[in-house]
Amino acid sequence: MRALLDLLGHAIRDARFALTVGGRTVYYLARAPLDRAAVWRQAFEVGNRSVLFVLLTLGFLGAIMNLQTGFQALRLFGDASLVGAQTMPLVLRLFGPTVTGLMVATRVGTGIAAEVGSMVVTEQVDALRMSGAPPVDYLVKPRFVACILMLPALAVLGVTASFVAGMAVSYGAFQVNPATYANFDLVRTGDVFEGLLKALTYGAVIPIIAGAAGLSARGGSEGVGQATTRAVVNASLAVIVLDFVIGGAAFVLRT
Amino acid sequence: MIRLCGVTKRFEGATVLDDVSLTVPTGATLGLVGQGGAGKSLVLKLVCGLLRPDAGQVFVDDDEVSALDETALMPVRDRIGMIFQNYALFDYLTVGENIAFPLRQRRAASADEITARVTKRLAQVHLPGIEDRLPAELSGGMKKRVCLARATIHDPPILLCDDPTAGLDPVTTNRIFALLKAMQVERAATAVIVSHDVPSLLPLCDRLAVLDRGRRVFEGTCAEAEASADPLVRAFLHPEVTP
Repeated sequence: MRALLDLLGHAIRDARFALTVGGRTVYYLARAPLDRAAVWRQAFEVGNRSVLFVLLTLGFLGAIMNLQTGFQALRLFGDASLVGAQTMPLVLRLFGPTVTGLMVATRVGTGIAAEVGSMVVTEQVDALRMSGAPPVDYLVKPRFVACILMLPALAVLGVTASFVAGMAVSYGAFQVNPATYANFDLVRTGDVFEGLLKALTYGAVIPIIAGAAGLSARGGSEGVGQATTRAVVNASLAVIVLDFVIGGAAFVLRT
Repeated sequence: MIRLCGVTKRFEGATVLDDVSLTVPTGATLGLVGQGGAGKSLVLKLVCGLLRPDAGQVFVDDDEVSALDETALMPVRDRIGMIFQNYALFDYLTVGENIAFPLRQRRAASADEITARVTKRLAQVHLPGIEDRLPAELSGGMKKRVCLARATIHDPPILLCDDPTAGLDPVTTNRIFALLKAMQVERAATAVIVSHDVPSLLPLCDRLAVLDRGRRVFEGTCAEAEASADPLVRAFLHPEVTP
């Protein structure tokens, strides 16, 4: 029971600190000039670090999903020709942005937490503060803007990879013609907006949670390790919870 | 002037500084000594507002640092240069960019002027022409001198040095202390220098303070320190005769 209360206490403390970091990020976005070179560097880092990972993961997910859906369709209806039409809304609304968010949370979130955490324990963050550079403005803000720009782009690439892989598997396994597979009748404009909104939200939340974890690192390398773990756990959890919240809100709006 | 009035600081229930008061008059240099964990580095971080005391007040000139928020601390920190124990050089920036960083952040000079000041400061610390090197390519002594150059690039009237010779050989230690002495003579800055190397530190100091497990056990002039009967003060001043 005590361990559970401790865990809850840590979670509340982490959430409060992340909210503070988020508030300061918005404050510095409004008040301080944006270092475009730093944003560009971070955008390259975020995109470059994650693109292959996202393409491979969503490509395989697309292939697996189409294979399983096709088997079920064949078993139940004896026809798998609508497999593309059935899976596409799910990929756009759920798998594309959310799996991309999870991949970025693990790949980029850990990188941010480790980098910022190392700077904290080696007093570089103190040196920033002494040099007139607020750490949130200098370290978190460029990563925040970069992730907001890059996450939707990565999600679009991921959806494309999933679509292409699904098309190839459907053709190979069930002889579904690519033209038949590319059936967007069940896709609504709202699905595209929902997917993009999720990607944007994850892009805003991941660097803040990871930056907050890094800034709260204490001690030496062990503290950096703990901060990195906290970043990936909290950011992944935030992605899942936000997926539920945004998905639920979209469902309510649709009905 | 720097003043600490009855400062207490705790970390996770443990009292690390206990009711410590210190005064450093304008233009004077205070040597701060004590065993590891005595709270010396903590005093420096409290002075520049990197940490806040749990009780007591910290003043830098007329500003009560302990009562200021991060934004209000900016102009106070503009008047302080700090040499960190672990160098704290930005490892992704070159030496030149590291030294120029405080000026660039404060937009205190034009790009040409910053370049000229960096070149001049590197020459002063006897490291000319290393602007394009990364910190990882430097030895410990070189890093300390780059750190000294960065801390003083904006000519602050207050200098805080956290163990500037930790882990350095005697030759490099003497070189660092000579540089600090030269800069003090040139700029008459108020300074607090934390060091374990008391014999090298004493010629630089007007005053000496000794901390022991978070408490101040001595504060006075170097002559008073020499005359002190306190065993810990004597142990620091005359380590060769301490059993």
